[in-house]
Amino acid sequence: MTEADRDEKVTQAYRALGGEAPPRALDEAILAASRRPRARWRVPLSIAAVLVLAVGVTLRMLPPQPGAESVALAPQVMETPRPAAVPAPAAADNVRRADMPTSAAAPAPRSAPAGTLPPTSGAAQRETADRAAKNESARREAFAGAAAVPQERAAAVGVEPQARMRDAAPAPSARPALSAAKLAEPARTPEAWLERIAEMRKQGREREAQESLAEFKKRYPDYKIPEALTR
Amino acid sequence: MLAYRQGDAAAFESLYGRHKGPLFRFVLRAVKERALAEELYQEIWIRVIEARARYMVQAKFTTWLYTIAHHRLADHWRKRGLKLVDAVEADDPPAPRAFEPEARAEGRQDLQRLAAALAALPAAQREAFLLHEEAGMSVGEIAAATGATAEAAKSRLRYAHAKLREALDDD
Repeated sequence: MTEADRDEKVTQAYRALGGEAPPRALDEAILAASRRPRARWRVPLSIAAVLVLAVGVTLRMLPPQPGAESVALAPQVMETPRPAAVPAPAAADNVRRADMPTSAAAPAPRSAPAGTLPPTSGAAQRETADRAAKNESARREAFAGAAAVPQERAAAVGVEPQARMRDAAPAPSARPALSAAKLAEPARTPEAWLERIAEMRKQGREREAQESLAEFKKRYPDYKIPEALTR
Repeated sequence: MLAYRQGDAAAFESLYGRHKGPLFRFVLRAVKERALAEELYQEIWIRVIEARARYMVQAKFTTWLYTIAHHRLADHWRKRGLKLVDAVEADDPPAPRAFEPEARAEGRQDLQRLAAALAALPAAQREAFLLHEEAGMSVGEIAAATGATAEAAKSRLRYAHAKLREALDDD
């Protein structure tokens, strides 16, 4: 809009309306506010508050750490009631050691029961299950005496709760005590066991090979043994 | 304003003395209620004071000041909703109470009609007119302060002048 476009009559009339001004008290209030020092702490405080909030929200959104979860669950595990036939650690340990080959006496992974050879096929899995069912009654007999031992005994000797639970868990393949030759058997799988027997025969250790093979047949009665080993 | 930002309180007093009348009338004639105008006027100045640390010399101080005023008035209209805006744009609005006694006492019917016509203007046109008359802003500065295009600001100002002139010519 150029100066020529301005309507002087309108402008003059508007100016004639009057020149209102703010009241003096309002002037003083505004000028007083202008003289107040700035609140320098507001910005840092705001930033700190936002940071704290952001960190808090982020921490709550993170998935829980596995370690923290196990710690939180530990009391629940300790409070879980045990079955009546659970043996004391010492007795269960004895049974397990007698049952397992020497290599299996080492701590087994938590996912696999102690003393159980990992199955390599469906047939092996079925075989393992069958054997576990057969040995269940014998194992309970072995555990029956130990069940009378108070559980506090384990705590008195300072056994870790989770270790107690692991030791007290029923072993699916509990068996009578093995021979010395069997205890020396390091094989973890049937195939490895058979390879070890073949190796003994190659070395002329026929007697050991026979004993080991006999033990293998006891443990894996349905396993098809190569003819070269049976001759 | 730069001097005030550096801590010179007297610089603010100088700025305030220069702009207080035009800004107060701009607000008063925009909202047409004295108490409300005083409240909004104070809030605008408080915003200026609080924003002094962020003040940058990008335009005239006048443009910056009236930009703040425009935003505060926009907040006010938004809180009140569209009803008040419709009332402002009604065909026959009541004359502003602040101007009425003086106009009647002096028998200046043209001023009364001007005041009524000003109050009847659409808010955007009235704002453009007041920025032009009170703050002495050009079309470009009005556009900058209100966030409108130069064409829109020019159109609003022209329509406002035409309607007010028409009200004065009715006698």
